Amino acid sequence: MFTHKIQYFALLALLLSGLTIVGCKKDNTTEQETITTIVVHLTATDGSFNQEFEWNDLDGDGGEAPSIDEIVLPANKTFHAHVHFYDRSKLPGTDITEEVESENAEHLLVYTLAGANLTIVADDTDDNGKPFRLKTSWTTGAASTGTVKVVLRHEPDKNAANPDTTGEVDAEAEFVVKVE
Amino acid sequence: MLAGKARWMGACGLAVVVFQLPAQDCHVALRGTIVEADTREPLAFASVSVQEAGRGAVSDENGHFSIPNLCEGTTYTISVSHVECAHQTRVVQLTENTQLDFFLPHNAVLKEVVVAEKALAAAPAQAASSVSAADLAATQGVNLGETLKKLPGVTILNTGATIAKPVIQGLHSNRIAVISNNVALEGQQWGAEHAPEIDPFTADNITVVKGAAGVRYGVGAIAGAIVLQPAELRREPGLGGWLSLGAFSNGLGGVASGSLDWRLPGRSLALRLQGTAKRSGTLRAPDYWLGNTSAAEYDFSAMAAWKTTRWNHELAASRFTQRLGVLRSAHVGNTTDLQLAINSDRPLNNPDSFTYAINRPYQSVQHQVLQYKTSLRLSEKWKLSGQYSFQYNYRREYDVVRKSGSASDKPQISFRIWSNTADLALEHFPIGHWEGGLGLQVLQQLNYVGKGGYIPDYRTLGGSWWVLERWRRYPDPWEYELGARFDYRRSDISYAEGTFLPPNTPRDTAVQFGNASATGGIIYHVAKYGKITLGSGYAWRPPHVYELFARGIHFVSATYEEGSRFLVPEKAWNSNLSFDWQAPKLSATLSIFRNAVQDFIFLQPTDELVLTTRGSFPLYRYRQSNAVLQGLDASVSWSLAPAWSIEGRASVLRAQRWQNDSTGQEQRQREWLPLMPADRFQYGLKWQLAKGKTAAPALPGRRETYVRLLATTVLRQTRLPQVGLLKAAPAAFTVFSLEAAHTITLRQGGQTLDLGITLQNLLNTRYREYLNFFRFFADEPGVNLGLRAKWRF
Repeated sequence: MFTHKIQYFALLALLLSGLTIVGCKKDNTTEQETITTIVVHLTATDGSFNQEFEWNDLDGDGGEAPSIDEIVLPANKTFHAHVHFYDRSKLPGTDITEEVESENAEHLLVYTLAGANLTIVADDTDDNGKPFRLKTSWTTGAASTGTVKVVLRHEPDKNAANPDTTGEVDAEAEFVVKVE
Repeated sequence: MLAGKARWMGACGLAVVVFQLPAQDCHVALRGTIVEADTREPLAFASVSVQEAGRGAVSDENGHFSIPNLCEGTTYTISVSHVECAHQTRVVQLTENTQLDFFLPHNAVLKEVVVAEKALAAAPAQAASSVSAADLAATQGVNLGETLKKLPGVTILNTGATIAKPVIQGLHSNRIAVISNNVALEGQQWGAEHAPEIDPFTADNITVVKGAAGVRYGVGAIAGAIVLQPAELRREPGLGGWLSLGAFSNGLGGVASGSLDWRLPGRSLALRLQGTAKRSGTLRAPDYWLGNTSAAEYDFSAMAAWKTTRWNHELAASRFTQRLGVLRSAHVGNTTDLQLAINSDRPLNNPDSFTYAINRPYQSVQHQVLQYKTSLRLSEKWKLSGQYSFQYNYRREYDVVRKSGSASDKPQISFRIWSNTADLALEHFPIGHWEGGLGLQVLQQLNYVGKGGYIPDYRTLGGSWWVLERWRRYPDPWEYELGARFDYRRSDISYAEGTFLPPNTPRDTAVQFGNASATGGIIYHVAKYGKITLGSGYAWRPPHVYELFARGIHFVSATYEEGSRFLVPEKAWNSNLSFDWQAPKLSATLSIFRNAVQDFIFLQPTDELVLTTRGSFPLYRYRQSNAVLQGLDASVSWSLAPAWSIEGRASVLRAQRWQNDSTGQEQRQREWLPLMPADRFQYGLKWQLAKGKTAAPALPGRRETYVRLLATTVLRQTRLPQVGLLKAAPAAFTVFSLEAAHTITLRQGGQTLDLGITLQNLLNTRYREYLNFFRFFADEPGVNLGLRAKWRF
């Protein structure tokens, strides 16, 4: 009878060992790709203007509404524009722009203008010579007010007829633009 | 509730245990079927005699026999003989009405002695349907959802082609319980895109209980339960088992599953090892590949059982691991992307080629169960049983991320649950024709959500007690069931450090809920084949943590969902009236139900938009109002000619809630509930090779040779809520499928080879299902040829 018991315990041990030992620990391996901040850095070609405009949502999705700078630009000038992306949800913040630049073939920036006397043309291309538009030239016309929407698209199909609607949105920021 | 279902085995050399008991009540009936052991043909004119009672019966043309008015607890010797077959004798002791099937071999002398011991859990008084053995065999290789699809009243909620959740009469997720080998699955069932962590190959029998089954299956089963039972462990000494292989043309998938059973000679110890491996590549819709729908699954389970004179022990462990690719084109960044996808007929961002690789986005799920069950026979009448189970569930979701970013080797969301459950039940065999039991359950659960998750961490403690009794006196046609249960749940919620919280939200909170459930049923048995059941149940469900505290973007629907801390439990009062007719030529079931849910929890669209760095999302909040879900489920199968039969099934559901005004006051106006199954009809023609007669219903239906053509028509869902709609419901569709199966009996010792072929979506029809979250993005998969073979040894 005793030997039977030993067999049963051996069996029990065998079955138990089939399961991974699982401890009740918190899982800290997860990480989201958070972009809290979109910055448009504008410098006038004549050196007369150098300013950053921020779109900030530090508490992440939901919660408090984002704080958005108004882009105010002098009329009839040309600017170099450089867009930066940051994750400032934790300290110290992370500059996501480097990742976007290093994977330039898989990213595309799209600018949508409404109302303002402003034209935007690309200043860069990706490693394959396809559009990237992280760096652009902005040219203002006469005084006017409108909006500019900056959208970062991930994994677009740059061979498509209109690559601007392919891929998915990683970041989207809409600014009010005033040309004075 | 706790005991497993003991079934009679036809094989010889069973264990000999006979209890001598004083003579009791003499109202027990012995019924059964007599068949030829090899061909499984029913044997007519076999004589069955009960030697001690000096009485007997002769089997009818379907092999059925019935001997009424036998005494409880008396040892009887049952002799069966037939002119062409060997004589067979069994010694039985009946404790209640018993079904005893005899398998008579030609010219072989067998003598076996068995004791009738059976589970106390009788069939519930709620409407229930079981998956037929043929349907189970045909779909086991796919997933649990697919297996249940053919039952009336059961539909599937899909998130693409890879993720399927069962829906019972319109309700799913936390409103139904999944019970596998007596353990309620404690997974991540709250999420509509979280499929149940179950390997259908572990089940030998799957029953769906429809209606408020809270008393029997615990808090949460307010719309029903899916009950999976494994096959009995081997009763005769030696080795046995099966090996099953399957292949599918769509996705070039393969599945292998095997089970090895072993019973030590001369001992009571029986063992089983079972495993399943599944791999499939990109699925194809009629016009394009469904990019990133590859999947992989590896499951393992082990069981052991042994007994002493009064104790029964069972130990079981299982491990389920799955990686599921999620349709790439369904990964949208914001509402603009979603609108673009909706406006496009073909999926956008779709890697339109075949691969076995599972790329981001994908889900990785792991579920482990360890279980110990024991029962102690206290006396001839009473049995005490206990069960302890431990479950661990780990779900990780991987999104599309930048390859050079620090998140690229990490999951974006993870959920982990540790559950400990202990059950104690005291059950009794009929006392004054009442049979049933009472029990206690305690539950402890710990939930950890990865950083930045959608819900906070929480710990739940719960307890319950229940009592369930059933009255039946043969040949009295009436049968009654009564039950009550009380459940208590307390959850301590804790937001991780660094989580942003809205003002006035405490970092730690506790919620507690307690409520009673009740069930009552009346069954009237009409003649030999008919049954009328009137059942009514009251069940409840505490609001889940996600309904209370969720906050985040639900990307599939591009909505921002927000829980509401002040939700109260849902209470469901479910009534059903079922008519059952199970005769050899005609079997039919009609079930009419009404499920009135008080404080039904649903997602209410609001006018607000939540502005995020990915654009603005419409805000949906969890709200409550009273709802009524009613409808009917019907199924019929009719033998036209000896080999031909036709079958039909219909499921109709109307689900509405009352509108609340801005102050929460109930209005007269009603609103349809979203995501409810549209009216659904199935009809088929079956040709069955029956050597002589229709197979007796009591036989394992596996050994069928048949060809079956089945059509499924789903109407357009026109009953939609007026707000919150992103795309009109897809058009009505009809899809055809063809199935065939054949069993070959191998020469040596009863080995068989089951062969099957299925052809899903025969005409490669383009269609979209309203109950698929990915209907915005892509069509359902096209034609799929499946081949399978199962060797039993």
